[in-house]
Amino acid sequence: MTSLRPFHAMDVFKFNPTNLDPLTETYDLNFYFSYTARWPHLFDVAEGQDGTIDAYIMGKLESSPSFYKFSPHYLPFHAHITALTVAPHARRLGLARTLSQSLERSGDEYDAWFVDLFVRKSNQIAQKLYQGMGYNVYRRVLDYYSDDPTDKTKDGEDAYDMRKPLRRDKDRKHVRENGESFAVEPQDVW
Amino acid sequence: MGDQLLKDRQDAPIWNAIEANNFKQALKLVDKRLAKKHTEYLEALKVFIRSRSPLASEKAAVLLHLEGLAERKFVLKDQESIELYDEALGEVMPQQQEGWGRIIGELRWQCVKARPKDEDLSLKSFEACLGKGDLEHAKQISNSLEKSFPSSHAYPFWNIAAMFLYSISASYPENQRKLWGSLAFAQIGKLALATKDAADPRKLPLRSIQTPQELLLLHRITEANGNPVQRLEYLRDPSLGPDSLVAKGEWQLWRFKLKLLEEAYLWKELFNTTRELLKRGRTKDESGQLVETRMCDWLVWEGFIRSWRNLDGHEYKDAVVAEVQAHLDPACGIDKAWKRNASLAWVKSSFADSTPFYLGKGPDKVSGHDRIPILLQYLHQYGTATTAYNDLRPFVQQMKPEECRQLLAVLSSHKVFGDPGHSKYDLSQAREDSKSDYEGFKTASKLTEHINVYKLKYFITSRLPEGENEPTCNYCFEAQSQYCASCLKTLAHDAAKLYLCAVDGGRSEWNLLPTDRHPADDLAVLAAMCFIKLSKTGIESSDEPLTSVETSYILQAIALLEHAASHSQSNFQIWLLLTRLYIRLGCGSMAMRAYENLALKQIQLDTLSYSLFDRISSFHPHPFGHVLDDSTSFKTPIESLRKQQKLYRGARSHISHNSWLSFKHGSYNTVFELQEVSQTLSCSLSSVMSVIENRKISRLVPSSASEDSNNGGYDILPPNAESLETRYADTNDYATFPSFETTRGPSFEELCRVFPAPSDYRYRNDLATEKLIQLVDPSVAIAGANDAVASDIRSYIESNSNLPEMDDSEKYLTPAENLASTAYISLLLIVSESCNPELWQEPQFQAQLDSYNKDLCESLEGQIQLIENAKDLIPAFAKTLNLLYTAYQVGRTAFYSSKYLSSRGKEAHASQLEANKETLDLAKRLMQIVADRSVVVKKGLDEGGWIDKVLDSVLQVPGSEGETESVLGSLKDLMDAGRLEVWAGDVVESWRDSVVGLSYLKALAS
Ligand SMILES: CC(C)(COP(=O)(O)OP(=O)(O)OC[C@H]1O[C@@H](n2cnc3c(N)ncnc32)[C@H](O)[C@@H]1OP(=O)(O)O)[C@@H](O)C(=O)NCCC(=O)NCCS
Repeated sequence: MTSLRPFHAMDVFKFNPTNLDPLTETYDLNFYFSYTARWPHLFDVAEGQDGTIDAYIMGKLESSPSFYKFSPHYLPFHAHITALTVAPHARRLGLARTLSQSLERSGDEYDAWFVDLFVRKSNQIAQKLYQGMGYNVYRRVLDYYSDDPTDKTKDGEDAYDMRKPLRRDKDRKHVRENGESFAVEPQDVW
Repeated sequence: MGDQLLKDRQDAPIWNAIEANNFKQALKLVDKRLAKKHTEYLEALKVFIRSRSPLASEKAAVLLHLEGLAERKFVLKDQESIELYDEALGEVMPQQQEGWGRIIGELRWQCVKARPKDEDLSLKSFEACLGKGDLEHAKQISNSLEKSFPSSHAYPFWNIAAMFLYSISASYPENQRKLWGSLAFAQIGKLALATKDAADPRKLPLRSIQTPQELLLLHRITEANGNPVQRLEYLRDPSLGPDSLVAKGEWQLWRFKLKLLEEAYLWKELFNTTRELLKRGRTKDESGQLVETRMCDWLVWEGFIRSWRNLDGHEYKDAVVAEVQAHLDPACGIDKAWKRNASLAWVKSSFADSTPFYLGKGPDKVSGHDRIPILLQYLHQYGTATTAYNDLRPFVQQMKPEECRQLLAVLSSHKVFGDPGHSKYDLSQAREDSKSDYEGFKTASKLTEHINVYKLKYFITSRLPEGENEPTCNYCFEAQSQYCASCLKTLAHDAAKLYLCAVDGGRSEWNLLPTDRHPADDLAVLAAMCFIKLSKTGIESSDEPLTSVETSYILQAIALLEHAASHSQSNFQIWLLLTRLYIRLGCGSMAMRAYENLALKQIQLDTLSYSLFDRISSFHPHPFGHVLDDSTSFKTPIESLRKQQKLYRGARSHISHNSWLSFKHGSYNTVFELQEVSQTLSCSLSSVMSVIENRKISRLVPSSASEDSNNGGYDILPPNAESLETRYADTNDYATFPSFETTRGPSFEELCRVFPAPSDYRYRNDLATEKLIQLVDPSVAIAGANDAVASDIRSYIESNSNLPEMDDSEKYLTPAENLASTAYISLLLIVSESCNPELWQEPQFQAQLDSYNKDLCESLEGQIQLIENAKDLIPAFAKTLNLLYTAYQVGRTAFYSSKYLSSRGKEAHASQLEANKETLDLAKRLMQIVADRSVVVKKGLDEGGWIDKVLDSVLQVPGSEGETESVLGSLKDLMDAGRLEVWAGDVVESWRDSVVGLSYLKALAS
């Protein structure tokens, strides 16, 4: 069964089915609570039988700070997927697609230019998911992550910054071909 | 801090001295400056410096000064002075919420009152009061903000939210809370009316509800102070309901509406609403997009079906059928996540209805009257997803035994997904053959289908008919005690074989990322579950635990799960099960290794620490000495508990900061959610556990100097947390454990518990016992705190006039703990009452004191007997370790309690002196027998041959007619013999490491 609801701050006590997976990081409470404080409408949960947390998405809507305005890396008002995770037992049911579509819809409602996200270079499954939904790699962020869960001997991994233009970007100003070869440093992304 | 509070460059030397902790110098400098020029800031700075003094007299003087300011309602002129006083109070009275409000809250409020137009001051003061939980002043400040800034849309909502927050906080008087709750309710009602009455919903007046969060606040307050009818009215209103402009599509409002309609039995309206939503969910907009698919939520389907069932008339049923058909129509185009809801709705409808329920056209149509084909059809469609079993379980558990039997027959005949082919799997050939020969199980989808079938079979076979005295298995008709051993064994064998065949050849055949779990995992988990249930079927006591049937099955479960873990490092459910099973066997380091593989962080340390650290002090209090090949050395138990405690300290500021942020961003609903988290974390069961275990370990295991400074982490708990007024919140996560059991009975986590789960009852008693120990045990007594502790104990006893009921205590305690608990309660009563001369004259006093002493002696004797009678001590399983450590602690506490009472001289009742002698004697005997047994246990493990015994136990089940090959024994060709042997060696080393801690259990000299 698929049932969505807004994330409730008390869900931090229940999100182990998603967060014990190695590709899902568990941050301090400030991280989750600052999203519920600022963008409660972009933080959704998919609930399974008996209220188990099967999946959740955390999103935000913002632009780069104004002092960044003239930087080539400045980002106009856009939606961002901060975290998207589906518990291993609930995968391949379309939950990730459903949750990210709902964030896209919010992005359109608030007139954002695009939706973007960072994904590990090794995370081919997530890349497939986003590609299937019309996202493209916009740039590669070198050593964005400080570890590599697929290889414990490495202490860093690149990220792909993937994007999908929203309704507002009629001329597709904010997408780029061959983004994989456009490398930037972590300090360039915001 | 100096940077923020430095006002004048001339003050820099003072701050330098403060930062260098040279308070004497700082005080001299500030006095010099004060002599030249007396300012409010310098005065505050001086108070702040004095607050940092280690002298209690200085601290008391600071407190007096601050209280004086607050009482005089002194108006401070600058922000820095308030901050300094705030800091000073924090130094002299840490963690005292009530005192903060009375002093600093009051001072802050006086400032705001004097300068209401200073918005920045008001905001800072509001933030500070909110952060400290001083809602009295927070609401006064928000009220002032609303009045002083009438053109603000937000402040009226701040004020309402603050009033409501006050009204739900237990810290304020009931009548005041009621009053402010009603006021909040009345005010938000007015704002709702303004939205409703607006001529143009796009041009709402300033003072009206305009955002989804404001609507959610309206519902929250109306729910608490109004009635459901009012809420429904709001939800029906086009300007305030879920479809209103203001709601901006907030889904929670629909959820409210459906729930309220159902609770009010408004079936017709519920039916129409849900039907409309489901239709909208599958209707495309002008650009051909399905933009409202969210309306196909399972909650909507449930409301739809339930309302149909409560309405008379064929048309309702027809409408349900039509809606399901429309959603399942391939042309409909909804995503599979939503389509699955429609399929499940069909199953649900068929189970809800007793008359035939047809779906589909033509000869293939399936009748809803016959429930098995409906389940099978769903299984066919969704069997490749792990969730299929979970989806179907609620329906299977509604089926009658005869139907279950039929279903089992179909499932066992391989008619559903074909024969997986593992029975023919030839090990030697398979490695050379192409795996296509085994396609029945060599793709993730096929395997998942079979796993769903196995889970259904497990569900049906491991459930005996309920409520019969001597039940027989539904399927093989043999009489059974708890589970049908023969069915379970067959299933275990079958599942384990399929599992081992599937993983044979390694992960490389499966196209998996290193972080993916293996698709076959649940088969191993299921087989392990069968083993664990089987371990309960043949319990017979034996002198050596390793020769029992019970142990053989537990070891088989572990061996299989270890095999699975080696193929699927990321499967946390396997690690959870392994942690539990290793604990049971007394293998501390192996349990720790499994637990470490969960890689818990942050809040998970609250929700899952219990899985290893509950009772760690009576299991493995000492550092882990056994280092495994694949791991670096582990944190000591006490380090782990301290790491957990750090979480609670950090959480406070995270919550208060974000409550403020929520106000700033108008996320009123979040304010209340955070409040709930704050209350929950202020005293979660797990936080109490961390303190108790920390203290127990510290007493037993000699610690390094850096560890000594810690008092167990009491600061993370409310004062006197043992009192019944403190509510503990159970945030432990039991649900992440795998469970394929019926949802109506105990989960698998419950079925495989080694000991009773963490409980309010046990922890409260433990905390009270800690107070007793603080009073009597010279190694932990705090100098000069005796009177305070004794008075805490007295108030605990008084508030607990009916001290925890003994009747069902075995539900919460192990046998040793149960006896110990009686002893502790008796000791608490003896220590408290025999030293309270006021009670000595009471007529019942002597009789009562005698009965406490009698209970105490009986329980100490009982404890001695328990140890004397304990068999199967080597290797020491968890129950043995728990017995020895628990008995030791109670012996030691009884010993020190009698010493303490004897040392009180005339302060203790004379008759107690005599009674003490017997207690002392029993306590010594108890500690001696613990020490003796500990030596025996430790020595026993020094002998050789244990590895072979482990391997024998895994591969052979002992039985009355001689040993028989075990399930894993019959599959040993599929297991890696070398790995099995290494693992058996680790198990034995782990046992040896576990008993190291027993050397602390030494008899005390009188
Ligand atoms: C990535 C992840 C979110 C996908 O969740 P999901 O709910 O299983 O994905 P969906 O069912 O919605 O799949 C949507 C599409 O993604 C692709 N996809 C998803 N999982 C796939 C897999 N294992 N292999 C290939 N394609 C896959 C498919 O195209 C799929 O469409 P289809 O099933 O109709 O063919 C999930 O695997 C996950 O939580 N991973 C760990 C955390 C993570 O990586 N998050 C992403 C960080 S940016």
